[in-house]
Amino acid sequence: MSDIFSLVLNFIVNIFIEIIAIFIMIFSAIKNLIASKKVGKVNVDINQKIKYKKIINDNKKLKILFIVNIILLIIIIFLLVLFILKIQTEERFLIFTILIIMTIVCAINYYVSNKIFKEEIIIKALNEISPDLVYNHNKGISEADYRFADFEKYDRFKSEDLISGNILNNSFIISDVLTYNTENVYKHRGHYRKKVFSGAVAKVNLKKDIQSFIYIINNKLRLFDSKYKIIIDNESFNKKYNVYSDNEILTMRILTPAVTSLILDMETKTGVPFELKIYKNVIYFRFYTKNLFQLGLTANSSAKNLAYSLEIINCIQAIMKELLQIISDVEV
Amino acid sequence: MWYILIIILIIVIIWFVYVLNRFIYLKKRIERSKSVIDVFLKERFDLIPNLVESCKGYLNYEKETLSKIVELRTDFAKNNNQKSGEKLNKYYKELIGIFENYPELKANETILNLQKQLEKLESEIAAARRIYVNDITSYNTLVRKIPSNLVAKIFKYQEINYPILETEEIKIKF
Repeated sequence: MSDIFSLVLNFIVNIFIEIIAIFIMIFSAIKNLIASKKVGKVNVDINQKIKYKKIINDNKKLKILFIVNIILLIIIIFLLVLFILKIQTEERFLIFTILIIMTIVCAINYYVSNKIFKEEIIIKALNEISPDLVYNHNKGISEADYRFADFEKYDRFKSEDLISGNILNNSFIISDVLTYNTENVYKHRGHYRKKVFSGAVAKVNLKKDIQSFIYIINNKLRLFDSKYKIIIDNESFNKKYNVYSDNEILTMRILTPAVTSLILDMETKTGVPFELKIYKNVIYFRFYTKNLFQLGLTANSSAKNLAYSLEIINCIQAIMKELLQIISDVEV
Repeated sequence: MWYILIIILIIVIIWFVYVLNRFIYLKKRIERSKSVIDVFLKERFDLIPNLVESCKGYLNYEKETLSKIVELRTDFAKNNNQKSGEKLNKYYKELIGIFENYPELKANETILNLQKQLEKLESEIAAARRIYVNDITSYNTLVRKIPSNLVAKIFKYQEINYPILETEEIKIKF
């Protein structure tokens, strides 16, 4: 009797454990889904978007190129379908040749549109937010500058779309950065290139050395050495960010309630995770986003991308200004 | 069947030890944060005689405030009289307020250096106080929260009152 009882009890306990495991799995799947929806969600100001769309539409050349691009894409899709349908016939070689030519024309068209977008439109749009910002499509943040922040291990570095200027007389730059690391496959049978970071990096030089580091990381990203972890007196900030430093007093002096609320504001506005590092005499900002100033397929999507990128720059500038003011007042 | 009970018991013991260690850690942290504030206050306290000495020549009309500060500081240093300490704080704030009315103080290098040191100290005191309050909040939350309040009751960990802090931050401007 007792055997049957223990068997039944064992069965119930096992079922219970299984149900809990299933619930945990479902819960974590939903949590991940919500997190993935939240990361990279772009909140673009409609008025800004309309303003930048007008700048794009005012450029007649670009407007025509956008139309040509869409027509070319429609032709390419049509030819592709036709190629699949006529794969058994003699006409397939002719269709294939036209398809290749059209793809090349489309690529050239995109290249020219991108050049106009970067050389004319972005400069005009940047002038709207701050006339002293200078844009250079071919330049990027230098590798030495990036390496100094010691963000991660990498062996390939690429940077472009450099914007430079001044914030409260401190030099400021922001650019797109892409880093890769070569990793070995099992037992050194080969290697592959793994993308380590892709996004925007901003940097401001300080006029004084804080002789410490302060590292703020969105907790969706990664963790740092827990012995340096610092709890800030803002609960909603602690829920979203982890703060690490080797100087707790200095961190509390710099991360005032005004700075923490600006950082939370930026999260709401841009919806992308980021890292902020104050290291010696430099402030770094790293945004896990798509490329800044990406040309879209239409004027509408390009204006949206532009509004988004400029919103990020605006937010970074606001936080940098507040930080610079605090650090200049702080005697180290 | 028994092994399930043993596993549950082990989990409970691990949790118990973890919560107890957390209480010990937070208590130590509160003590440390408090002593950090004391260190900064002592530094500020030690700067007062220098400040008074350097300002004597300029603040002819505020001699009463200066002598009161010297008197209170001596009393506080000798007898560790808390009331003298509080009054000293009040007069110190008054003195900092008076500085703004004397632009000629800016020319004195010793006073400017003292100003920088005081600015740093005031900002450090404010930061240390924020850390102290933060630590007390974490500790009190653990004392109140279920189920850690059970451990608090067993080991008689009680809520700590928040310190009565100076409400206004002292801004040093000459």
